[in-house]
Amino acid sequence: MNPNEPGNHDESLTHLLREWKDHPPLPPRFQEAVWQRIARAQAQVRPGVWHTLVAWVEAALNRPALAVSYIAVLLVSGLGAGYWQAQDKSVEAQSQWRTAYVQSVDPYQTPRN
Amino acid sequence: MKRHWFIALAGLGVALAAYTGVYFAGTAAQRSVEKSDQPALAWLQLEYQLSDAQYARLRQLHEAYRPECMEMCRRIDTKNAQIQELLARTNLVTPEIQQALAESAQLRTECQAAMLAHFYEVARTMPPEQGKRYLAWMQQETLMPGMMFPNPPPWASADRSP
Repeated sequence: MNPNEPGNHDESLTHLLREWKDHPPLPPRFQEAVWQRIARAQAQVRPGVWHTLVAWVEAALNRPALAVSYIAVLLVSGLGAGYWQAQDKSVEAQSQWRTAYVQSVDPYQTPRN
Repeated sequence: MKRHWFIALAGLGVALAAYTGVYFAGTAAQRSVEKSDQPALAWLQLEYQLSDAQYARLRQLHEAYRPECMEMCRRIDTKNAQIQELLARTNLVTPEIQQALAESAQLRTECQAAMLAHFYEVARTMPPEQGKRYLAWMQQETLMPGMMFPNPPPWASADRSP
């Protein structure tokens, strides 16, 4: 009897084949490559400045060093802008009060109605 | 929310919070002065580091000086009107015009003397160094360097701020 002939079932082989599953190792950076291919495919479908910008921001902010730099730059910018604006406002107000005081004591500079 | 969008928004929030905090801290003194009923005097207290007692005395002196100052304003306006009227009548320097100009100069001298007396009184309410600084500033602002001082004093060539 030929075991390769149809109908000649080897029960244990059949069972083994049913149980067998192959788990080949994924190539290196497989997941990243898939996402890159998806991104490229999407970019080909909808190329635009906005999407490019969003992709760039996403890529940049996913890098911890760039994310920390981004926060630091905005923090320093906020501090600088607040200080500069406050100084500007104070100088302007002080100038007004100086003038108001001088006008209140010097009859030659007092505003006439 | 995706992590990178959270970071982007957090950055903007940090910038806004930093700006607001520094701005409000930097203008706190200014807001305090603006709340005063006499901001110019309140600013004087801040600028010359006056205690509450010194500030109260300063206000008292200022209130006492104001009617005198207003009277000087009235006399100056009257004299100026008189000179304008005389000048409109002729194109010559008449004895009347000479007399009016002399009276105007005399009035200016009186006003400046009264102002100086007030400035000295105010300066005496201040800590000595601040009083000197105040006097230098007021003399510069009101007595017009070059007119009263043949050689401009050191403070006249410096920054005009007090």
